[in-house]
Amino acid sequence: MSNPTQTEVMRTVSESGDLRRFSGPWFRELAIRYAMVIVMLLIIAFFLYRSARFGTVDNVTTILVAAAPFALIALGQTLVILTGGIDLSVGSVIALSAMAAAVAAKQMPDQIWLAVVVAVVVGFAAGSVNGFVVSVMKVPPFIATLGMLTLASGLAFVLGDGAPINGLPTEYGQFANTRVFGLTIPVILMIIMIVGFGLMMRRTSYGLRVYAVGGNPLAAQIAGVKTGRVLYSVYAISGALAGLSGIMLSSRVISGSPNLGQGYELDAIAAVVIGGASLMGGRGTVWGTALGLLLIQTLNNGLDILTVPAYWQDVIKGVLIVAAVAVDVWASKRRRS
Amino acid sequence: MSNQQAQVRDPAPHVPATGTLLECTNIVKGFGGIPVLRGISLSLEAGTVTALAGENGAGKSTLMKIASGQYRPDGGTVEVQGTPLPAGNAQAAHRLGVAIVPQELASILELTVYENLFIGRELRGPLGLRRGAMIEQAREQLAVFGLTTDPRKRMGDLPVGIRQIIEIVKATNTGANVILLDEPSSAISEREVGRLLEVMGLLRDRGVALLFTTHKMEEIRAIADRVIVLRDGELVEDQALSNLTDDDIVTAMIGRELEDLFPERGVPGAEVVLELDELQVAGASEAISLQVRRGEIVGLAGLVGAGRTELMETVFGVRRSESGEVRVRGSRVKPGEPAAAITAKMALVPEDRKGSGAVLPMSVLDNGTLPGLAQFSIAGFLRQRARREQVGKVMDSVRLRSRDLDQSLETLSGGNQQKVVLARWLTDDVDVLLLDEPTRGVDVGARSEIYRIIVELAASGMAVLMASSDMPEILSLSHRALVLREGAVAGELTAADLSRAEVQDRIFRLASGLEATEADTAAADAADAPRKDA
Amino acid sequence: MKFTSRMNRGFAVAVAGAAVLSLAACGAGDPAAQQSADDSGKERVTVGVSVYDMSSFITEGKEGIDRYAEDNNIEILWNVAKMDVSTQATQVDQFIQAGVDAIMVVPVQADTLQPQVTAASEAGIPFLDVNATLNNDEVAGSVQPDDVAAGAQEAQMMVDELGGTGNVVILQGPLGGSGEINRGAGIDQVLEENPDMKVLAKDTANWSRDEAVNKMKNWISAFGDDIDGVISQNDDMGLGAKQALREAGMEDIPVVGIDGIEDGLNAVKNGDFIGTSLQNGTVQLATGVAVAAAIARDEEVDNNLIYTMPPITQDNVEDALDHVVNDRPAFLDGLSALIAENLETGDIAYEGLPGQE
Repeated sequence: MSNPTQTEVMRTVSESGDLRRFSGPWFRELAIRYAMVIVMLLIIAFFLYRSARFGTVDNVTTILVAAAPFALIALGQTLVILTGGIDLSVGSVIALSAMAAAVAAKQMPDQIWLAVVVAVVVGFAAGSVNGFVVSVMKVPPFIATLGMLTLASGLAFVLGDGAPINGLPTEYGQFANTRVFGLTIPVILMIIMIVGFGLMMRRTSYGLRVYAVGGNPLAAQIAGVKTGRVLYSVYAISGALAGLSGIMLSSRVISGSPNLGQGYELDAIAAVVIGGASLMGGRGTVWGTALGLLLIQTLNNGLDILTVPAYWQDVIKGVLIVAAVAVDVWASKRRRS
Repeated sequence: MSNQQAQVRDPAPHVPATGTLLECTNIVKGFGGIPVLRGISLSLEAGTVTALAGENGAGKSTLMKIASGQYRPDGGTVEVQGTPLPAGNAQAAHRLGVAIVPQELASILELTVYENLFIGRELRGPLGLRRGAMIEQAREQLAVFGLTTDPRKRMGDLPVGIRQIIEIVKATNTGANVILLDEPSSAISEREVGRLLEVMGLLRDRGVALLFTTHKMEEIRAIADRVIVLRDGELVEDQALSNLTDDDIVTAMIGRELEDLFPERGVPGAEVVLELDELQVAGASEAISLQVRRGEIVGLAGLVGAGRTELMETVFGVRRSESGEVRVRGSRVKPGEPAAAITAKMALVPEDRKGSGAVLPMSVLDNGTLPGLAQFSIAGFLRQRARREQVGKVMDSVRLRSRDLDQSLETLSGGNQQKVVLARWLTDDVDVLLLDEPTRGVDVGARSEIYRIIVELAASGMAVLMASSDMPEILSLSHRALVLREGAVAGELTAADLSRAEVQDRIFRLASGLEATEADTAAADAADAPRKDA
Repeated sequence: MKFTSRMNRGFAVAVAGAAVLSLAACGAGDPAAQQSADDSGKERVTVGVSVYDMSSFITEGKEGIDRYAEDNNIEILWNVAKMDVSTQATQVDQFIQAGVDAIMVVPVQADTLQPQVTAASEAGIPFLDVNATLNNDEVAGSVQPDDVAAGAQEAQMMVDELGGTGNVVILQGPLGGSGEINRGAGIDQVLEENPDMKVLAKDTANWSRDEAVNKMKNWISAFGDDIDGVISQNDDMGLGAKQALREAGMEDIPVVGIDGIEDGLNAVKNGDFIGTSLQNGTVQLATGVAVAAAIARDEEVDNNLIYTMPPITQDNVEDALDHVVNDRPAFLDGLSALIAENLETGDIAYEGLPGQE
């Protein structure tokens, strides 16, 4: 080490970035990278051990059905968070689009499919406003979507004149309750969306642009990415998915409630964060989000089966979120050193 | 408490120290397996000013941070007046009287001057803070250093140079008798440099031991008693200034003949590729016209804040120009749109690699794909094999040292990051390459490779415009050089000028505006020096 | 996962702001109107109303209040606290500052608003708590549902349905809320008297239909066919549970709810629920306003009233639906007379349903 030549210095650099397979550090690296998968498997193993009912097909379906509406908004949230932003408005947008869909269904019970169109269009419109305010008016996403959270919630109450819209035609329930190949539409939608978004983020230039904008907006701009458009698009997508989530949620119980979806944005953000995404942007995957989401839903389900009281469930999940992020911070520190 | 207040009234250290104040012995430090300091020993005497010279990445800042307790050394000891400094304990260093004024000032911009001066040791009375007393004392302290600034002003409203002196005042207030200044003149105007040097002289007279880093020979000549030169983490020179010539210092810093570091330049072609026609950069004092030919490397020199980065970014459309136009191969490029610049086959490698060049969390492959997305995708879908092949090829051509193409950029060294940022433009035809500080923060080894890449790119037909603060880079890499000041061209140096002995001095004078008019005359006198291209 | 923190303060502030504006407007508008008597022959009074949120119950109640106010020369200042105690406190403060004649609060949370009640009492403004109790001696009047009785009533319906033997799950309101505590107490009472009734699980679904559906699905996973019945502390959660049972192909498991909201009554009618207990918001809240106005006008009135929810089964659900949904205009037309009569008899829940006396 006394006087290494230049090339020796170089080699040190390349070796520090390289891990030989099956060595101790390699396993540690693997454990760090897949910490969430390991935690997930441990949790599943625990539930399987504690309850014979947990592993049944019916129960897995139950978990998936519960997860579906969250999956849609978590996907949108993933895109937004990848750009370094945050969308706090999705919960309210769910309520707004569900209310709009319910109004449409009441007004035009013959054209019940219009309810879906209305919900998605309303969600998309709300998301577009978010996107415009963030990308063109340069308002910080936290503020812009906080405003939309309040605004959309207010509009949801306006639409129902302050009350839930009940007494909807039973066909309204078909969107969420129709089964195809034994799975309900929201579950199928969730699977299609997760795979679709996963491929999109991995394989299309749009996906790459989203990562670039989040990782370093200036660098992305210099590389020719129209950062404003990318920013706008992620909020618009997030809004449209919230709309879809809204119609699925309200169709399942055939009721439009202005309180629907309240606080869901935090669940979605939690799923994304547990999935390993960085709130600073540029880091995270759709697969990670899907995993984070399933982790939360599995916990919800398993703890219910073990009849752990709801408020204790919240305590456990709160601890888990912080632990997940702590592991991530620790792991990324290791990656960099 | 009363003791501290006494100190506050008298900015000088309460016990005028003598002899050796700070002693570093055999300091060793590395980051991520790369040695940065390899056994540095030095001592600072009371009442002396020591210049710490060396190239970027030589280890100057790291050494200062260890001496001030911010970093923990891997080996070696620091002693302050005979007391060993607990490793990596900034509070202890502070208590022992070692203060550092970092390059990135640590002022709290939202607070006022006096609040900054007194933070952490506020004057308190029975009714809470004694603001009046603090303001009065602050005013006196500033006056000692020749500042008439109102202490009630917001720190953020003051120029950097003043803030820096206030930081120094603050350091002396807390009883520091060893003051470390990291690149104190890098971000301030010439007038402010003069005042800074006066302040440093004042501190020396009070028995403070000063250590400062700088790139500028003039400052070393003006104030230093002694010069220490670091190179690649080793101490290569430690002499009284009077024993050294400028050339001695430069040679010690670079450590080899310039020819070793820089490859042979190619011969520029005749075709004008990039042309700026009266391009008015926002905030610049006048419009700029220049031409760059095929195969030509044109250097842009100037002080920090001379507007080089702004010019580059305006040419590339990251910033909007106020008037004038940019032409590539004769056709006008739509302003204010990097995408248009890319279509016109321009490429920008920005100064601030972490800030605007590379997307650090992304892989080498993705970073390499980014500028050529259109080329690498069909109907929005990425052509995985094509991009992997192409990016792999160019990364090989620049001898990138990475595990594989999927390694994320943040795990690469600065030099390798820069190679990626440079090489990614090679997957597509590029006619104009804009380089802003291409080797900032790059270790010496990778630097010569980057030089080779730049020269090869030019030789392959690109027109290269390169801004650099690194004098040897300008002198040895460019065919021509322009010196910028306040956003305008202050002078031009031909190849012949660049090889003259006194060229560094001339660039400095042009850049600092010391001899604006004389420079003009000198340039006119020089028979083979044409004026601006346009 | 459930996060209860909600970011709707902005909305609440906007509502409160609107309230101030409307107060200012009516203050400046027509001062004579406030004091003059109209054709009902009663003195004009202003009642400030703050409700916890816009639930179905409150929405129906608001129709009753508005109609009763219209018929009885009462001005209503309507505020919604959106489940935020401090918003509600602010709204009450504003009522006091505006100098209303009476204040009626449907509390966000039981046992809160101590300082507001004191301030109102010092300002000489009668203060009423309706639907949930503030447990405060200084309130001028109180109209409270008998939640313990309602809980006992629904539990008894389930016991009868199952013949005294069976396993049930219980869906609770937000834990610690007075509704959950009291209804829960009633349920527990009845179940204790029937030792062959077993509780498999009980947990909160926060009064919410979509939370209940997931909770119930998970319980179905856990207990499957062991579940013989679902006791839900309100109709909304009961409807969610029914949806979960339907998804699991267990439609025949009996469910019972409380409140008698529109969808709940329909569920009774079509057999999804074995029964519910009607908490007719229209009657209950309008009665609250009636008492508030009476106190403000210094009229003789019983100021401590208990609303005992009538049981709703297949036998009387049609009439209840008429009152709540189908023949609502007629019911509203007779509301003032009904309330006047009820205040005489003291049975404020009476609305002429079969089985009521």
